[in-house]
Amino acid sequence: MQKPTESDFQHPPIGGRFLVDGGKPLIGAGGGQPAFVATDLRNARSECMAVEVSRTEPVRANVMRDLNEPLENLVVPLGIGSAPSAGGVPGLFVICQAPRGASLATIARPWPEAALVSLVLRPIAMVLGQLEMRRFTHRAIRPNNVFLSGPSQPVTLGCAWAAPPGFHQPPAYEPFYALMCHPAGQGDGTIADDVYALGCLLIALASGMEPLAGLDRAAVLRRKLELGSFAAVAGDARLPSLIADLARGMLAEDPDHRPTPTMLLDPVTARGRRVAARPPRRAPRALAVGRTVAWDARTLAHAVGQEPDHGIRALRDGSVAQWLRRGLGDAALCGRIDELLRQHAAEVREDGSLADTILAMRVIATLEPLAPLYWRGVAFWPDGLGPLLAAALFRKSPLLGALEEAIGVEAVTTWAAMREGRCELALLRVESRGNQALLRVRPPAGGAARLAYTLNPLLPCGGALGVGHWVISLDSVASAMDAAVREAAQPFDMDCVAFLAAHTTRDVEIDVNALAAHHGTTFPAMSWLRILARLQTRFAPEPMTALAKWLVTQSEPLMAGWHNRDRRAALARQLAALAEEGFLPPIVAALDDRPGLEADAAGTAAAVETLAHIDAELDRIANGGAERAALAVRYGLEATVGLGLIALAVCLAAAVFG
Amino acid sequence: MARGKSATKEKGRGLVWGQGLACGACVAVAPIPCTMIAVLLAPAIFVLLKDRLPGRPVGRAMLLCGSAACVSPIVTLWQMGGEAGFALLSDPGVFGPAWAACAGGWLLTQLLPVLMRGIMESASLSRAARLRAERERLLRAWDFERRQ
Repeated sequence: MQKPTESDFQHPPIGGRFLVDGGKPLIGAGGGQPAFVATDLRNARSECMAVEVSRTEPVRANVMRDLNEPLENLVVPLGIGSAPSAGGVPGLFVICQAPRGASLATIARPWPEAALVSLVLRPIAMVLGQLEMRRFTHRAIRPNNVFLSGPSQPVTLGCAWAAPPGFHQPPAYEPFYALMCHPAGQGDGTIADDVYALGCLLIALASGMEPLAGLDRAAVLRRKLELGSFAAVAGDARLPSLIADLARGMLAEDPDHRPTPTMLLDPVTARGRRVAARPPRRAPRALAVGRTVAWDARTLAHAVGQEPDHGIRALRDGSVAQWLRRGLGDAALCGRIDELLRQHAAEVREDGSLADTILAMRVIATLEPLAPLYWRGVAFWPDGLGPLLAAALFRKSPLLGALEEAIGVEAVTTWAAMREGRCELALLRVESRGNQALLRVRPPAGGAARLAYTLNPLLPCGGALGVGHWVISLDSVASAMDAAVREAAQPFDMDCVAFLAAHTTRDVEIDVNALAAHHGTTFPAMSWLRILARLQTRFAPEPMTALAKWLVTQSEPLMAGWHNRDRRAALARQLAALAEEGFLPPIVAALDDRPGLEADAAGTAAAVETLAHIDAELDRIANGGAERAALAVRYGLEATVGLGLIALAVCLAAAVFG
Repeated sequence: MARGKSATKEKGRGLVWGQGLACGACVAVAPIPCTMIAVLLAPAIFVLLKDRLPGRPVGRAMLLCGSAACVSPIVTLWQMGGEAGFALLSDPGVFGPAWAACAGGWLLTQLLPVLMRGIMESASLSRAARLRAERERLLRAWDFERRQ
C-alpha cells in the first residue's frame, strides 16, 4: 500500500515531519491514551503513532526536550504538535515510534519464570538503567503499556510522555508514597518507583492475574497500608520462587531498599540481596482519626494528611501523644510531636487555619519522613506541583486555592526542612521562593496561570485561544490567534498574556513585559502588534488577514496620536490596505513612524503658535474700536490740512503762472 | 520735569509774542491788505482761536482753505491798489468765496475723520474675516476641534 503524502492531510506536518491520521486509531497502542497512526515523511518505513494529549494533563516537557535519541525497547518521543484528531477536532499529539505487537494486558496465562526474566525483567531493567543514567523515569510500567512484538522477543516499554508521571497508572502499580498523592501531583519520582512498578508487573505476569483488580485508589492504599505492598499485590498468588524473592525486594516500602536497575540485570544476585528493613512498629491498640483507624505511625500520618481537621483535633487533645507513647511505645517520636505542638503554640499567626495546616504538614513529615507533602488534605511531591497546578487551574478546582496558599507560604521549603536528609533542601528552597515570587506578582505577569505555564513548558495555552486551538509554544501563537479571530473569538485575554510571559524570548521580552504590566481598560494594541509581528516574521510568514484587520481596528486610538487630519486619513487608508495584505510588520512600521510623528508634533506646535497669534490679532481687532476711531479723527484732520495745503499751492501756482 | 514743562511754556509764550510782533509789523507796513486778509479769513481765525485740539487742526484746515481762496482777491488788490481794498471787501463776490472756502475746510474736518473711520473699520473687518478663515483652516487641518 502506498504511504500517504503531505497533500493527503489537512494540517502542516508536526515538526515538519509527521502527519497524523485521526481516522485511523491504534487501539491499545497508547497505553490507555488514545493513539492514532502517524506518518513519518522522512522515513517511509518508519511506523509511528500519535498519542493524544488531554488539555488538563501536561506533557512531560523535560523528557520531550532532552530524550531525543532512540533507546532499545523503549518508545521514545519524536515530536509534539497539533493535528486534527478523530472527527476532525483539533488535538495535541506526542509522536512516538509505534510499539510492535500487542500489549501484555491481553495475555491472560501465567508466564514461565525464564521468560519473565529474559523477556521482561532484563530488557526493562536495561531500559530503566538507561533512563536513570539520563536522570529520567518512566512511571508508566503497567501491562497495557508494555508490548511484546513476538513469542521470544523482549518487551518494549510504551509511551509514558503524554501525561504527567504515573497519571494513568493503576493504583496497584504505584508505590505507597505515590499512591497517597493526587494523580497529577506524583512528580517524576525516582527510578525506584519504576522498579516498584516492574515488580508489580512481574507478579501480574507470573500469576496471570491483575493484582488488586477492581479496587479503587483508596481501597488499594488501605490494603497496602494494612498488609504492606508485597503482600497486598501478590496476595495469595503462587509465584515462582525467584520472582517472589525479586518482587519482595522490588516492592520494598522504602525506595532506598529496592534493587537498582543495574542489580536487576543479574536476577540471581539481586534475589540474594537482603536489605534489613525494620518492620513498622505496630501498636496493640488502634487510634481512630476521622474515618481512618491507625495501627502504626505511617497510617497515622496518612490519616492526619487525609483529614487534617480530625488530625489536629487528635493532636490538640493529646490522644495522638498518648497513643504514640503508650500504644506505639515510641517515646522519641512522641517527644518530637510534643515539640512541634509547643512550637506551634509559641508561633503567633493571624490565620489559625493556616497555622493548623502547617502543623499538620510538620507532624506528617515527622511521623513518616517518606511521605509526600500534605496540604489541606491533598498530597503531592514538589516536582509534581506543576502538573497539579495545571490540572487545578484548567478544571477550576477548589484545590487551586490550597495550592496557591501552599506556594504563598513556601510550604515546600518548610516540608523539605523537616526531612533534610531525604531531599535537596537548598534547591527546593530556591524553586519554592521563585514560585512564591511569581505567584505574588499581579496577573497576568504573575499569578497561578503564569506559574502553571512556567512550571509546565508544554502546557497548552488556555483561555479563549485554547478553545479549538492547541498552542504550546510561541511558534503557533500568531497563526492560532488569526484562526481564533476568524472564528469571532477574542483571544487577547489574560491567559494568553500569561502564556506569552512564560514563554517569552529576548526579541519580544520588552513588549511582553509591557503587555503583562498593562492593567488599564484600553487595549494595548501597539504591544500586541509588535509581538505578533515578530512572531509572524519568525514562525508564520503567511498572511493573517483576519488578525491584521482586527488589530488595525483596535489601533484607531493609536492613530489619534497623529494630529494632522490629512496625514491621519492617509494613514488609515494605508493601514486598511496593509490589513488586506495580512502582514503585521508593515502595519507596525506605519504606526510606529518616529520621524513622521516628530514632524507631526512639530507641525502641531507651529499650528498652535499661529493660532495663538491669530487669536491675539482677532482680540486686538475686536477691542481696538476706540483706538481706530482716534486714529481716524487724527488722519481725517491731517488729510484736511493736507487738502488745504494742496488747494493753497494750486491757487498760488495759478496766481503766479496763470 | 517741572523745570522742563515751564521751559516749554516759556518757549510757547515767546512764539506767541513773536507772532504778535510779526502781525503788528505787517499791519504797520501794509494795513489795507492785512485788514482784507483778516476780514476774508475772519471765520478761520475765529475757529483757530477757539480750537482746543492739539495742533488746532480744524483752525489750520480752515485757514489753509480760506488762504487758497484769498490768493485771487489779494492779487486783485495788488493790481488795483490799496484804495480798492474797502470796495473789494464790500463785494460779496470777494468775501463770499473766501468764507465759503473756510466753511468747506471746516466741513472737510468733519467729514474726513468719519470717512477715515469707515475705511479703517472696513479694513479691520476684512482682516478679521481673513484671520478667522485661517484659524478655521488650522483647526480643521490639525484637528484641534476634536481635541478641545
